[in-house]
This record gives sequence, structure tokens and C-alpha cells, in this order.
Amino acid sequence: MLRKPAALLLAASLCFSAGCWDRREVNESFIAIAVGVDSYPGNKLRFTEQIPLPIPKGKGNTTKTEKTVPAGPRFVTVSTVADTFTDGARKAHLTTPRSPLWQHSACYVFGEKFSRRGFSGEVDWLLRNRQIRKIGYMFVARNAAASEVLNVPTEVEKIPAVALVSMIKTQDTNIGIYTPVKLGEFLNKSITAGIEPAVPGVEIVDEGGKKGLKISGTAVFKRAKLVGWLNEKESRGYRWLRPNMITGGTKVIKCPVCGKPVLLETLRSQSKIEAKKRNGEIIMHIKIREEGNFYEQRCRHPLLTPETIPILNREAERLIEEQVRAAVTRAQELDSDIFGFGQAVFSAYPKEWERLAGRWEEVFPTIKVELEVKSEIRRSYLATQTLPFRY
Amino acid sequence: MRYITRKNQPSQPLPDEQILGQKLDSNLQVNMEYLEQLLDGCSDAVIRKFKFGKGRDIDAALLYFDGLVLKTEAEDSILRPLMLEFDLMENTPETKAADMYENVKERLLVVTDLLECDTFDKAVQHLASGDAILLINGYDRALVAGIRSWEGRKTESPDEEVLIKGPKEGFTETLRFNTALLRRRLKTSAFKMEPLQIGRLSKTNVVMCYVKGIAAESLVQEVRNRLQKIDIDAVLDAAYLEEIIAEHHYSIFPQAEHTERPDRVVAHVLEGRVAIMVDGSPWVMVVPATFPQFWISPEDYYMGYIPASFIRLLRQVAFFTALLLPSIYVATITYHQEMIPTPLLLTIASSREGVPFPALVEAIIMEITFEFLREAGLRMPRAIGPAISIVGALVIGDAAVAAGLVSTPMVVVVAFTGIASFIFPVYSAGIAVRLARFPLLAMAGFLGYFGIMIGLILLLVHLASMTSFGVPYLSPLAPANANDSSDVLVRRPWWTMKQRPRMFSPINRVRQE
Repeated sequence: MLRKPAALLLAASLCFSAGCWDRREVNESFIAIAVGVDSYPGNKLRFTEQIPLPIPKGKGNTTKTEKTVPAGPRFVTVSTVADTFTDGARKAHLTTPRSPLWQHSACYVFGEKFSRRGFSGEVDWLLRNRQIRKIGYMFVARNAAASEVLNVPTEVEKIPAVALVSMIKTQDTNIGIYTPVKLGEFLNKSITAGIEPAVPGVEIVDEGGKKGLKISGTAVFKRAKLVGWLNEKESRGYRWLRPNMITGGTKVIKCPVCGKPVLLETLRSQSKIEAKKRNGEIIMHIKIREEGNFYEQRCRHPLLTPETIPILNREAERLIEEQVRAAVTRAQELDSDIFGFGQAVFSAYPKEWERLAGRWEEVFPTIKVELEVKSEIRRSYLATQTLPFRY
Repeated sequence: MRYITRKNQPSQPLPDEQILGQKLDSNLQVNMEYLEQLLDGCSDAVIRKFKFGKGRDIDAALLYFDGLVLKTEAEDSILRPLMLEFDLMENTPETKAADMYENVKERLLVVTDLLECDTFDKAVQHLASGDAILLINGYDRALVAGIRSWEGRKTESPDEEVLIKGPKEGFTETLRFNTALLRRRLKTSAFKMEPLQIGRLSKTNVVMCYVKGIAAESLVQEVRNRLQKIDIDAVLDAAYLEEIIAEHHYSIFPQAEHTERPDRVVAHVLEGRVAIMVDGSPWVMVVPATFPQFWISPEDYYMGYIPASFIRLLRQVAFFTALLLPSIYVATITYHQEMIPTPLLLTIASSREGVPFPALVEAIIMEITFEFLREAGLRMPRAIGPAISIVGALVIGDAAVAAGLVSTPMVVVVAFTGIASFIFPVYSAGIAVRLARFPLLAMAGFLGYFGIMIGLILLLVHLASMTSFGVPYLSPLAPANANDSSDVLVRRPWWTMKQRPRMFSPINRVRQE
């Protein structure tokens, strides 16, 4: 008679005896919002994590909403020296009272030395840990260690990791120099034949004794090693060739009349890299379709006439071509196929690729690039002509 | 074990049963002796002995319960004709030939509702229901004059089912008023009101209403059977009956719809359902009940179908909010932190800083506190109502957070859930959701989203396995019926509702040609 209730009771007690192994109280954990890795002498790693501090509550009376924002940085950085990633992360428990939540790591920073030494085989943990999401952004600390970069307080956005992610995203839509790279994409590219990753760099700037972070340059990897940097112009060229659609960015061209700068805005741009054969030789045919708005001029010449607009378009096309060529040349110098030319060959001529794959590093620097850029101005915001100054 | 044997003992006969079984005697003296014995201790019984007839020589007695009959009516239409106007009766051969009893019944009493009875049992029953009994010496029958009239509540607008638009009338405690409210809305003889009497002692009048030609015969028969089988000493509210005649005794979900609104009853009856009215209760019960009906308010049909549909969707969202919000919150912050945007997680983390309890315990504490407040607000005298709201707002909203016992987001979640649970147009459905929330909360606390899913599946299985008078509880959503379900999730425009819902298998399906 008592069997049914007893069975129910036992079943219910399973909930308790399972130990709730997955349960994590947020006030017993911290968020590791950024993770940094550096090399350390003796084939060790320096593991760094950035922890945002909870905002302390104001005093009880909620009717007076006085939020006293405490002075000083709103984060702490914990660094450990260890043999592996996990070892480093666990060693952090010696100095921090709580355990980390990795799900919210927004960015991963590799130190320049670590990157140059090569990360092949070393990032197992990033892939294996089920708490780590592959949507955090990748950065390479330029001329610095990741632990230093993650220690720099930022001003507007108080948590540097959030600031970094926000910076890389907003610069992409507003000025369009660097290409944001997510962890998943980065890991994917670094193990795929015929393409190599390139990651935006972040450097520490020192303005009158006050440190700050700045996104600077694009780190070019080859065989999971950092081999060199693209400068601003080359980074722009690299961005034009990104396979997914670009929305946003600027182009500064010259006024066809006086040569003063004219700024055009990119609305959207799509590139397509195709391998083709010319006289038995493989070349890359790159098509870029770009359209945008006329944004600003510094001279008084009427530029938005049916006669001048095509000229502006040609100027923009020339600028894009110049930037792309610069990027390709630099990549060929560094011998790193960051554009995925190898992939293009593979999809167009799979047989050929089989033959070339083994010596792609020799072939890539000699590949010729054919560019077909089409740029068009669509709109010009509120004005069709500039203010008619008389002087 | 003692209790069990005691339960099985045959019921003791009531002391007066000996007399009650007997027939009325022709001798008034004997009848009065018995009746006085029966009515001994009933201080509200009025016994008026008087004489009437040509020579004022016929003994008679008028009995009634004070307060249940109109005194002036008893005087004007019974005593006056007999005692004063007896002589005015013409002395025709017919009247001479007729028996005295016949004369009184057919020629003297000025009462529309006049019956006869010949047992003590019946006589007492009529007496207790508010009729007056006239006994005449020499006759073994009693005349029953229906002059009942008592002080009752006036028809008011319903307190529990508040509408902005639509009729403001609500049922009262008097069955006759209530039937009249319905009859006024359905002026057809096809609208049947079958009388029943339930309750050994209470002898409560119960009326079963349905529209003949719409309600399925089998349904009406089933309701009748179940009502007739009831054996209980008293029925004080329609809810007594729901518990007895419902199919699933262990479910927390209401299996009959209770309403105070005549318009709602009529609308249901026109769909082929059966309404059960109980004397003494302003709540009318409608069966069969299906779950999706509980988020439908009569007001939906009194306003435009687009706003009504919006409000109905709102109620469905509120249903899931009231059921799931605390569980989802607890599961998310203890198991699935990746689901929360980073800035929000930081805020939650800061507000949970220093809270000593796990999120689950915190949620349970807050939910129970809220239930306390709600119940207290319901039961306490009106005058101290504001005191409770001040205490509630201050203690729960502010002091608990300031004292670091609970976190602010939890207060927000509980408040939100509370508001959502008030949205249901049917009160008992709201209670079921309030109750179902707790097991789900526990599941969420132990197993996260996985637990919530298990809980929801169990709930769904339970709901899907239920029937109400043979109608699947989740109909018309499951089993799916395109015609019916189009008026459940949203409100269908009137001009497209050509047919009655099929789930109650009405005989006549056509609502409009």
C-alpha cells in the first residue's frame, strides 16, 4: 500500500542526491570576460583572465537612486604561470575566491611572442572546454604581452574586454579598416589548407603617462605562427576581400578638380575570388561590387553632377584596387595565403589543387591577381551640392 | 482501523423519521400534535389556529416559517377569504354539493400557486421551502400555498468577473431570480430548466439548464445521471457538485467553469453545454469545461475582434509567464548563464552579491511571501486593506532587498509573475497555474531547462489525458479542430462564426446561415 508514495519519494530524492552538479550560483562565480595567453620562459604559458567587478549596491533606500560609482578600475586581472591553459586557469583559484564562468569571454588575446612562437597544438583547451563559446573576438597584442594589454584600464567603457570588442565592431561599420575575427573562424582557418588567419592587433598607447588601448595592424599568421603585420592600408585591402558582405566603412579619394580629399562611405560591398586559367597559368580573378554614399568634401567644386559622379566612381575603384593590391603584395611577401586563394583553386580546379597543395607556399607568392572593381555612389544625404561659399 | 469500521456503520435514522413517514390524519388534533412535535424547537415556525365556515365552527390551522412568506399575502389571500369573506360565497347548488375542502381550494383561496400534499414529509418540506400549509379538520390532505418571498440580495454587477463593456448583471443567491435572468436572455421554450433536489438535509434545489435541440442528448443524460447519483447531506455551492461529478478527482485544474454572469452562461448553453444552478449560490457551473476556454472572457465578444484577439494573445502570454517566469529565471541564472547578455549578467551578479540563499530558495521564499500577501489581501476586512499593501510594498519590495535577503531581479520576477497570474478571466484557472508553478520551480532549480521541459511535458500529458464529460480537456487545440480552434487563440469575427463549436457535439451546428 505504501509502495507508490515510497517510490515517488525515492524518485524525488534523486534530484537531491544527484548533487546538482551543474548548478552554479552567479554570486559564487565570476565572469572571465577576457582570456590572454603569453609565452613564458621554460616552455610555459602565462595565463591571464580579466574579471569585471560587480557594481556594489547603493545603500538600501531605493527611492533615492543615488548610484555611487566607485573610483578606480572596475575589473581585476589575474595572471598565472602554468604548463597548460587548464593548469593556468585552475591555478587562478589560488588567488581568486570564486570559480570562473567562461561562457561570457568576449575576447581572446594572444601575446605577440606567444604568437610568434606558434600556437599549433596549444589551443586544445579552447576547443574542448564546453563552456567556451567560439564567438569571442580574437586579438593579438602588438609589441606587448597579453597580460599587459588586459591590465590597461579603459575610460569610456570601464571593462577593457567589453571596450575592445566594442571598438573592433564599431570601427568595422564606421571606418572599416580592420576585420573582426571570431575565435571559431580563427581556429577554423588555422587548420584549413589553402587559407590562413589574420587577426587584428591591439597595442598599448601611452598618452602623457595615461595608458590606453588601440587597435592597430593586422597580424598575419602562417602555419599557426605570427609572421608579420599588415599596416592600415593593407588591412583595408584585406577587408575588401573578406568573403561575407561588408557593411560600412569609408574611402578617402581626391577631388578630380583640385585634388583635395573627398570622403565616400561604403554601404555594402561584396567580393568574390575565383581561380581562373590564363595561358595554362592559374590566376586569381577578384570581383568587387561596392556601393556607397557621398559623404563629405573639402573643396567647393560641384562634384555631384552627372559628369563628375562617374569620375568619382572611377577614383573610388582605383583606391580600392590600390588597397587590395597592397594587401596582396604584402601577403605574398609574407607568403601567407590570408585571402584563401588556395581554397579558390581547390573549388575551381580540384585536380590542380592536389598537385599544388604540397608546394602552395612556393606558388602563392607568384600568383597573379586580376581585379574587377565596380563602385557606385547611390545617395548624398541631405545635400546635392556643397554650400555655395563666395570666397 | 477504528475509523474505518465506524465509517461502515449504517447511518442512524433521524429521530423524526417515524412521524415523517406517516400520512396526514383527517383529525386536525392529531395532525397538530405531530406537527408540533416535529416543529418543536423551531422558533421561526408560525402556527395559526383559527375557525371558519358558516357558523365559524370548522377548525383549521395555517403554518409557515416566519421570514420565508409574505405575511400580508398570507393574511390577504388565505385568512381573509376564509374568516371574513366566507359568507360572500354564493349559495349555489354547485357550492352546496361540493365538499368543503373543494370549496376552499377552488372558490376561496386567492393564491396562484396552490398544491396539495398528504404526508408529513412533504408538508414539512414545503414548509421549509417557504410555502404556507393550510390544514382543515376532517381532511387528510393539506393545501400548500406558494406565497414564498424573502429578503434576498438585489441583482448587482458581479464582483469577481469584472468587465468594462457588456451587461452588468450578476447572479444572486436566489435560484428563481437566477433562472429569470437566464430566461430573459433566451426567450424560447427550447431552453429547458430541469429541476432536481440534492442534499439529504438541505434539499437544495438544483436546476439543469440546456437548450433542447442544441445540447447533445447523451451529454444531458450524463449530467442528469451524475447529478442524480449524488448522495450528500447538504449542497451549499455549485462547487460541491463539481468535485463530485468531475472525472479527475486528483487534478488541480478546474473541470467545470464557474461564472456569475448570466450572459456567459447563455453563451455557453448556446454552444451545447449544460449549466447547473444551485439555490443559494450566485455561482453557476457550466460543464463540460475545456482548458483553452479559461483564457476567454465574455468581454472578448463585446468588443472589436482585433482588440479582442490582441487581449486574448496577451492572456496566453500571461499564462506562460505566470507558469514559467520564475522557473526560467532560476534555471537561467543557475545553469544557463550563457543565455544572458553579458551586461545583464553583470547587473544580476551585482544585485545577487551578498544574498545568502541559492536562487531556487530565494525564489521559493519570494513566491510564498507573495502568496501570503495575496491570500491576506483576499481575506482581511476591507478597512485594513491599505495596511497590507503598504507592508507588502515596503517589506517585500524594499526592505528585503536592502537587508540583502533577496536580490532585486527576483523581486521584479515575482512581481511580474504575480501580475500575470491575475490576468485570467477565470479565477480557478489562475489558482491552478499558481499551484503548478511550484513543482516547475523545483524542477528548474534541480535540473535547469531540462527540468522545466520535463515538468512541462508531464503537465501536457496530464492535461491531454483529461476529459470533461467525455470532451478532451485540451480541445479544440488537441484533438485539433480548425473550425473551433480559430476562436480560441484569437477572437474570430462574428460574421465568420457560422457554426457552433464541434467539440461539444451539438445537435444543431448552424449558428447563422
